Amino acid sequence: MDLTAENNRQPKRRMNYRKRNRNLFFAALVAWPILQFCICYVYVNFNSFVLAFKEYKTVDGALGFEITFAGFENFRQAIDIISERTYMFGHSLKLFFWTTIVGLTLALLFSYYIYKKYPMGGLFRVILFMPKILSGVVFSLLFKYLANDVYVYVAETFFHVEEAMGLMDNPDTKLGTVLFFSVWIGFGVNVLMFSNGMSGIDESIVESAQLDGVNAIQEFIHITVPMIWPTFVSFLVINFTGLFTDQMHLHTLYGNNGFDLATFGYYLYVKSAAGELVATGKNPSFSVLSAMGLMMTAVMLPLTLGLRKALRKFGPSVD
Amino acid sequence: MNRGNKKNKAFLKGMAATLALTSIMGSAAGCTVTQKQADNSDKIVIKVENFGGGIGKKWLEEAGERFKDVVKDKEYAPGKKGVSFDIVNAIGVTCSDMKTSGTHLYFLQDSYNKCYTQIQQGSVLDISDIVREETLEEFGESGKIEDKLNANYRFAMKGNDGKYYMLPHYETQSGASYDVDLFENEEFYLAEGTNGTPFNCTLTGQTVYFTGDADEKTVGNDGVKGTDDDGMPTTLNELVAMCDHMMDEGVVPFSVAGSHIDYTNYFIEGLWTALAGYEQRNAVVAHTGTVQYVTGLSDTELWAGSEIYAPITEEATLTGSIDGYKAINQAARYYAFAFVELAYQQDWFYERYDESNYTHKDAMRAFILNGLQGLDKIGAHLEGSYWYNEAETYNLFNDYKMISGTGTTVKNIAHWHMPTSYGNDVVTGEENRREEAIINGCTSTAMINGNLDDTSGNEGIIRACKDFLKFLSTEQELKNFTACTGVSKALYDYNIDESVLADLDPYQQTIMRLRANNRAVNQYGDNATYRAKAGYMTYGIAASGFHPVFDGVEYMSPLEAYYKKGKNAWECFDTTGFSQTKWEREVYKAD
Repeated sequence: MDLTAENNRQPKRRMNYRKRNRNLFFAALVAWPILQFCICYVYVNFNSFVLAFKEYKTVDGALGFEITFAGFENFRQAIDIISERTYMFGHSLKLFFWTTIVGLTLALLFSYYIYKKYPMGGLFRVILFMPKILSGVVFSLLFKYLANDVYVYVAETFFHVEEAMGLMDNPDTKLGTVLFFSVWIGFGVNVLMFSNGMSGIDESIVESAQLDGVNAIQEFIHITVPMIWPTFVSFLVINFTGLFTDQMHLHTLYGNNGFDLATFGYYLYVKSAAGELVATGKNPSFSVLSAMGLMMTAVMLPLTLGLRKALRKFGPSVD
Repeated sequence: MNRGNKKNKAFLKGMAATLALTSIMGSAAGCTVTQKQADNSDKIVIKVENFGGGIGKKWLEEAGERFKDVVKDKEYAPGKKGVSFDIVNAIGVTCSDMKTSGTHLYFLQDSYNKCYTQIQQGSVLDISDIVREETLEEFGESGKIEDKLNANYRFAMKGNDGKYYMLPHYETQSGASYDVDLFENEEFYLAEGTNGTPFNCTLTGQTVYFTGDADEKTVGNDGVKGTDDDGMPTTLNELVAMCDHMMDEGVVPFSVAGSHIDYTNYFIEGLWTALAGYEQRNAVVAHTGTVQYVTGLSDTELWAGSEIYAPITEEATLTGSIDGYKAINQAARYYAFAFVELAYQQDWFYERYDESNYTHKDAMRAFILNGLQGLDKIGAHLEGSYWYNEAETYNLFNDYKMISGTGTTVKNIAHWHMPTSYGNDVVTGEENRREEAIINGCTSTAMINGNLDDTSGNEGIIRACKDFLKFLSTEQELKNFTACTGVSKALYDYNIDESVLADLDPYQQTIMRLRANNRAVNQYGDNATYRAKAGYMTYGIAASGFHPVFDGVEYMSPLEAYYKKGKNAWECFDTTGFSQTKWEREVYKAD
């Protein structure tokens, strides 16, 4: 009787032991990332929230700062800054349109081309992914020389243009050039993800559709796009969340000298890097920048959730 | 099948564990909030971050070797005698990441106003003991560091608690540098009297004479013949005429890097300071003295056909920081903006100033080679005086030696002597000489990381860092520094031997003589307004006062606003100045 009971208990104990080990292993695995998440995301965002309502003043006769509740003063200053720089909305929206709407659509088409193994598809894959193989800084340096020095040389030498101006210096072309760069440098990952997604589509579905007489365009619209729609939605939503934080690679291309093309992301990046707890002339304080960030989050959060819901609801269905 | 699953699981577990470990190691590597000496060396290792631009690191390596020798038998911690150095030399070295950095000692480009917040936050170590109390006997001197610091600026090394947190490091001057040989060969110097070649300047409506047939140059600002400033303009109109003449002779007066259009601000700063004089220029931070400030714009053209108009000015005696805005709105600043607008109108900048790929290195090279290899001839290079050391680092003088075939890397370059009046009162002799005030565009700093004090057990490394700072403050090391870099230590009172001066390059010698014979403005104010809002009163390439904002777009210099936005000097001056209301609302703090 006892033996039977013992025999029954042993597997249970072993199970508990294994379960405990598994939990321990899982805890060890996720503890550090969770801690990092708590510090680098939760704390930072919480601190940013608190900072938006603080004002720092230096203390006379001692180290430290006198910290006071600023009410909505930082938000008022942030609104002043934003209303003085409404052009940044335009640049941020243009960037979103070209990199996300146009860029993702083109990436879909190129991915389909590669997926269908049309002529030179492999070559396209390599060329399009090339910007991601090189370091972003190296690639932008090469691009700068191509768009400025090489362009000027070619224009003056072969097309006899007098006093040609580099594409990135000419006020009429610099925004277009930077937008092109942004689309190009983001293209590789999009194409890779989409073409990989497409390669997972069940061949039998495609063959069946082809037997039913669908052509390539119909296959793209009715089979391929619906099958990779979740990937597409992810990209779209992620890009949308960056609407006011994407700096359009301006700092890599122009350093601190790109304010005439600035997006909100660029402004926040440059001013945060140069900023302090107290305003220093042209640089707003961290508190004002935090208030600005919070305001943008307040705008973007419902829009992003709404977009995601709409895309899921109205997007193409596999059925 | 089962064995395969087990293998897969084991593999996955292994992979997961490796990834987790990598993540932990990577994160841990970045976390050095508090420090502890963890090496097994028998010496204390001082981790140093040194700003790699400007004067470079050679001075640090040499001084480090000498220091190692001096303290080789000193026990800093049990079992640790002497020191060794671990030096990081980089452009991006800054004090803003000090709190979380594992670096012990910093030699920064940042000046006091940049590091002030870090001091107030408690990120910088209190070094009052080595500055005020300890003598330098250990290194062969009887005095204290404090005795060597310029008494007028000791406050600038302290926090609001009155304790010392920094030591001054080096200084560089703002302005321009010109090619002496080019000026001699092309006869661009102003001639005394009416003996030279006449030049009728349509912009100023005046005739000036250049050293064509004349042997004698004008006396320059110091009113004395045979000195560096001979033949250089003493009024703004003479400067205009000189540039106009250079263009006529096919030489572009100025070159500036397109990638650093803000370097024109160095020129504006130098010109403004010389035109204003020491007292007026210093009033921007001190808020004392008398200034000529701008109240409006007249309809009198400054230069014919330029549509740049003379300002309406008033004289004011400042009663304290409440009047600080008048010092910022001073006339000399407007005249400097106006001159740069004229230079832009007249194409006095080398044509590549608007190309973002035209780097500071390209601009230096073009100026040093000056006409060689089919390059245009350029009169002056606009940048802070540190450019010369950077050009040496880039081996540009070796390029010059090889390309020119002169067999020497030494080029005859001098600091451009700026005009000291925006009127027409030319200096003709010692009786009407004027001081040529200069401005230290950069006054860099040295400091010890405050987080060393957060944990016990760092006494040895703190002592070693403090000893090294003391060692660097000895008379001999101050001289060694200048001998190695050709640059002077900021805010230290020390003598530079004639033998040291004689070994410096011609350019460096002109700077040394200039600072020896004239007062230099250091941008530090000992008042509550400055301490609270130094960024509004400190000028430099990144200063808000040189970054006009139009329609929300910030321009890096007035020149950029001129050519990109079609703005003029008045608009740039106005938008970077202060009304009384704006000053009181945004900047002023009662003492």
